[in-house]
Amino acid sequence: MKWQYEIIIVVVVTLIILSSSSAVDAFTTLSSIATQQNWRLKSVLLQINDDIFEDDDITSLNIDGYIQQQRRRDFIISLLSTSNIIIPNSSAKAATTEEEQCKNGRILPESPVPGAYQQVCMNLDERTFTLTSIKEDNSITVYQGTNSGAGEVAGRTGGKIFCVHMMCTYHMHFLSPLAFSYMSMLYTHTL
Amino acid sequence: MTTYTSTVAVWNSGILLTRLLDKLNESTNQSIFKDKSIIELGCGVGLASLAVAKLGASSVFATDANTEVLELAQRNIQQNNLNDIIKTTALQWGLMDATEYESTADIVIGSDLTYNSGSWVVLAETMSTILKQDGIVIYLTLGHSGFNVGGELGGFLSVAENTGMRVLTKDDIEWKEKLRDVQSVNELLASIVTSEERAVIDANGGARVVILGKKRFGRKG
Repeated sequence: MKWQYEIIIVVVVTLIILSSSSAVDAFTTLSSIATQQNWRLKSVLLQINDDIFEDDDITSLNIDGYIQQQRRRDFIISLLSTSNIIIPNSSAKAATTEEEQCKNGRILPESPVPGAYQQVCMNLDERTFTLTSIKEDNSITVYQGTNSGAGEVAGRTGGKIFCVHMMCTYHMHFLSPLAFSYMSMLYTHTL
Repeated sequence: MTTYTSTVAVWNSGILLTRLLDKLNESTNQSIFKDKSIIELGCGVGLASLAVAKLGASSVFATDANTEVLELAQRNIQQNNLNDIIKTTALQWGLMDATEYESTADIVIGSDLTYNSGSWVVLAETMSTILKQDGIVIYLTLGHSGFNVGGELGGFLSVAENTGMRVLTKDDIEWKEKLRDVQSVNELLASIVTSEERAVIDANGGARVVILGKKRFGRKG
C-alpha cells in the first residue's frame, strides 16, 4: 500500500501546485494540509527534490518541525526551482491567462492609475484582431508600446488624464445642463 | 498643467471604433470605405487605420501628434503589409497643420479625442479643414472613471458647430451617400458588444458615437 499512498500524495500535491498562483502559495497550502492531517511529507519532498533531502532527514520530522530548522531556506529554494521545472511557472501561467482574456480585442475593465488608465491587455506585446465583414486577409496584428515589444515609449498605458480638463468636462453638465443634455439627446448616439 | 498624449496601447475605445468601422462596412455592403481617402486623428498604434485600409480605403493618413507613437504605428503598418495604403503623419491639431490636408478626407475617423477641453477648438478646426465638403467624421468616445462622457462630447459638439461642422442624421445627404441604409449607429454599437462588455462600458458612463459633416451654406442637404 505504501507506493499507492505515495502516488496519491504526489497527485494531490501536483494539483495543489498547479492551482496555486506561486510556488510559495503552494508551499503554504501544503504546510497547512500537512499540519492538519499530521502527514509526513517524506514522499512529497523526495518527489520534489531528492538531491538535497536525504531520507533520514525527513522521516523523523513532520513539516512543522522541518520548517523550523536551518535548512528551511534551502527547501523553499528547492521547491521554487523544482516547481518551475515540473509545472509552468507562475509568470508563464499568467501570460497565458492574459492572452486568453484579451483574445480578439475583448473589452475589459480599465483601472485608473496616476495620469492614465491601465488594463491587463496593455501588458501584451502584441494583439490580434479579426475583421468580420471581409473574408480574406481579415486579421490585424499590432504591437503595443511595451518595453519588450516596441521599446520604451513613455510607459505602457499612455497618459490620458489632465486634471484641469478632467474637472471641467466632469462638471460640464452642471455648467450648462440644458444645452448639453439637449444636444446629447438629439445628436449623439448612445450605447 | 501637463498635456501629453502617448497612446501606446490599444484602448477600449479604439477596439470599439474598429468594430464599428467593421460593422459599418458590413452594413453598407462594403461600400463605405472602398476607394475612399481616410484620415485618422490620434491614431495611436494605428489599429483603426489598419482596419479601414483592409476594408478597402485607397489611402489612409494615420496621424498623431506624438512622433514616438507614430514610429510604433509605422511598425504596425509594415507588420500588416499596408505600406502602400497607409502613411503616418505628425499632425498638430489646428489650422496651421490642417491646411496641408485641406479638403482631402472623404472620411475622418477618431476615438477618445475630446477628453481635453482645451483642445476642442483646434480639434474641430482640424476636422472642419481636412474634411471634404461631402465628407463625414465618424467619432467615438468612451466613458472613463472620473469623466462625464456626455458632457465631454456635448461640449465638443457645441464648439464644433461654431467651426463649420454639424451633426448628421439619417436624413442628411452625406449620411445617405456614405452610410446608406444604416438607420441608427446606436443599434450598430449595441450589436458589436457582448453583454459582459456592455456592462464594462456602462460602468464607466457608456459610449457615444457621432457622425459629423460640414455645414452646408446656401443650400439644403
